[in-house]
Amino acid sequence: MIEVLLTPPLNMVQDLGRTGFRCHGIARTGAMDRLALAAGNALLGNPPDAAGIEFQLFPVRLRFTRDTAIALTGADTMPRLDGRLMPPWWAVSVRAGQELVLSAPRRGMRGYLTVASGIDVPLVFGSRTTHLRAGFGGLDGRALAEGDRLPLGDAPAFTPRDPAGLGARPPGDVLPGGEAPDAGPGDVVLRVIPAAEYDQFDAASQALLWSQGWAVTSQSNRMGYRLQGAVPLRRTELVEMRSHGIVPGVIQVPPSGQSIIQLEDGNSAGGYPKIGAVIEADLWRIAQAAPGATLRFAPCDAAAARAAERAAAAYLGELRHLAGLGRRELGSAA
Amino acid sequence: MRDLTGSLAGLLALMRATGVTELELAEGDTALRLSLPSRPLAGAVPEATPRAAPAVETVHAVAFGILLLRHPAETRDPPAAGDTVARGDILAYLAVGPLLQPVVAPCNGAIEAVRGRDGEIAGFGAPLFDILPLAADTKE
Repeated sequence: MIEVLLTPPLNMVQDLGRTGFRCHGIARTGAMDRLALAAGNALLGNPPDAAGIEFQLFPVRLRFTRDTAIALTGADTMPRLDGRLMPPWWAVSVRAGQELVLSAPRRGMRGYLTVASGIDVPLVFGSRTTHLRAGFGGLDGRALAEGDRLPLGDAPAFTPRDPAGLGARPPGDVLPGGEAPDAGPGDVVLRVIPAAEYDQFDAASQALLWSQGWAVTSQSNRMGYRLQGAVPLRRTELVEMRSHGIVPGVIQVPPSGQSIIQLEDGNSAGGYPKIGAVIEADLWRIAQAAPGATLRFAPCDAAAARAAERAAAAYLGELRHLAGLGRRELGSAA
Repeated sequence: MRDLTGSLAGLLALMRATGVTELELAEGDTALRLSLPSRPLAGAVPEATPRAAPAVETVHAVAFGILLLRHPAETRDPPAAGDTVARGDILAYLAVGPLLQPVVAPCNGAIEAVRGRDGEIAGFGAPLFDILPLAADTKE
């Protein structure tokens, strides 16, 4: 078990999401930074879809009731295991009774805890992810609260070879991202494919999409990010649109001319015109952009988007393989 | 594979001589794995510090990799001479592809010198840090 000793609201059990039910209005949900969750599972040798915990608010204090192994990935939450500071993107063995404290990250926004064999809440529609708005999945369909006890999967049969643990190079350090000429230091560059209604926007707005910075406003959460640009975007013709299916990453432009990125907990359908879509391989970068951050959009095409997904898959595959060499089976002498 | 089993001793000697601690040979559905203690062996690492300064404990690379004195994700300061360290503290990282392995302080003390250079490839057994142990923590 993991006992929750202290947590603010909005921290939830998440896996890679619930796919195949969008036609019934059930969004994918799942971890906002899917790459961070997957890297934690790779470090521990877990199945890729093992459930972990996504932390959005801090401080958090947890206690482990039995020996296991954990990984902390995503934003650097300055994790302290019984007071000892762990590096970010790191996996260690823990002993029954040890306490883990996570603090608000100075950079990035969401931290992930993965556990050997995963968090063993029941599967609902094929996933353990929490669907907060619909109230199912995860732990009773809700965010974690003090006093919760999270069941763990089978006990791990391994420990990192080095007692100090082992870690992953963060994807931001090794995976190439998009480039925007006007991006300032700290700006988050997202690769975007123009979407169906791109051509309805006037030439100046099309240029502004790529050239101006988009501030993440405080009206941003797991459903979507509302952005603020210096100049609103305008369409040359106002075409009435019916609701249509949308996916995480879609950039909508409501009548205000300020864009919205739909995300994991977003609706499965919407009616605003779409000027673009952030590529799947860059969605994790949005997850780590806190309110106040500036986003930049860089034009991309389907081939480059697929190449970016392949690069992320190769990173995870290599990490899984090398981390396996860095673990020792319990009971073996090596 | 069957040809190799006769030369196991030779393989082990080669591993000791080159500082390799893990060797895995696979052929069809047969695999052979050899492991040695993951610690630089006496004689494998040339003693860089003269006997005159036995108090300093040198931290050697226990794996091959690119030395990272600062974690790529964090803003914490890299270790510097004069910093105090506790046994088990992670001083730096050795990167192999996307994997990071820790370089760990062997004792409580202070960093006397940072001998590895950030971003450079460190071979097995390369000296990375000199640690001046606290008097009470000196190994006999």
